[in-house]
Amino acid sequence: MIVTVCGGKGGVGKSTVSLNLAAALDGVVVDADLGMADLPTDGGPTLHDVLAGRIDPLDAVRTDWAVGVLPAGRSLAGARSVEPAELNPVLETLSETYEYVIVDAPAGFDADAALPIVAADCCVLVTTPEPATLADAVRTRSLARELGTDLGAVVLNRAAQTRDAVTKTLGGPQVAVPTHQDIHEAQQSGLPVSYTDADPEPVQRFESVADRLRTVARDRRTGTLTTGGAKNS
Amino acid sequence: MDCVTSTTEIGGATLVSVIVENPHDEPARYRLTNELDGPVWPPRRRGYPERGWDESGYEGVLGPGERDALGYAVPASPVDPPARIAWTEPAEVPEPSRDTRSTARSFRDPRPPRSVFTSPRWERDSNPLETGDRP
Repeated sequence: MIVTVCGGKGGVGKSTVSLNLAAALDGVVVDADLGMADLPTDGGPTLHDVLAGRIDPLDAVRTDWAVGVLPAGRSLAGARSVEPAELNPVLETLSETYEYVIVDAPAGFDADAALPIVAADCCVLVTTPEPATLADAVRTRSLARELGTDLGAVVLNRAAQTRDAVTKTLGGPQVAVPTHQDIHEAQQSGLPVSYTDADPEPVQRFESVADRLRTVARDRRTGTLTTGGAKNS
Repeated sequence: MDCVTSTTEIGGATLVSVIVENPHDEPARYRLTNELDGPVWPPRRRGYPERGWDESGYEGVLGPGERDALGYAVPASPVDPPARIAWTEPAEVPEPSRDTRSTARSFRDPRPPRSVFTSPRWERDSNPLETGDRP
């Protein structure tokens, strides 16, 4: 299943959510920000090389890291040379090997933000409670609806608890992830919080989002509609 | 399907313009194929070929009495006719598609602009107002 982690604004925690979800689901995370990479890399092959056809997608995945990662390239020339629409067949290829392909989508409303939503089986919308961020999340939610992609879950990041107003506006099952030093420190090291000797609380929050996605995946396999899928919400 | 063509040769390439008209009372799908000896350079929007174009021509639907005005380029010399209607068939109602190319076309290109990569040497040589050395 291809899950695109999106949200209109930058800096709301899409990369953190992507990495931690990929860890919880034992999936691969693809840093799809073609212009400004968010996840760490090591000088090896990147998504730019994959999109330019220089390397097979599966060979570019770092399998020896804590979480399987296909990093984004960091050079401007690389970003210029790629064909953004080639991302979608790449994601399809990865989903033949990995049960869960988590796509860390870029902020904004350009083609590189829209294409991973088109490719996805469902999306996870990340927002923080600030009004400006929520407004962008609403726009991303509308975009996903227009592109025909179901909402798998809403992550209310940096919030102690879920909010009814957010559910009312965005729909879908909501999980709140509080600000936590352990999450921040793990992300700085390119690690999911579950790989550190951490407080179990934040790990559980990501696990609830993962559970929700497992349900979506199971329902997709059996062809039943999910109650919180919010296709028509 | 009526088809009127014209060509203009410029810089080693040929620009082909075509007007296609459906004179019938039913909507029809048609295929226009390029007859010149080279690949079709289709019209592009935000870097992506416009809907309906491929390497050898164009496929589109025309309602009764409707016209399409089409244009493309080929890196080859002109021939007469430069393009022809390969086939027509009764058209179905087109459904809105959720495909990658149409999405890419309808959103802004995320790639950095070409001007970012302008060579400093080229800039110096081509700028007559530049007199001093650059750092």
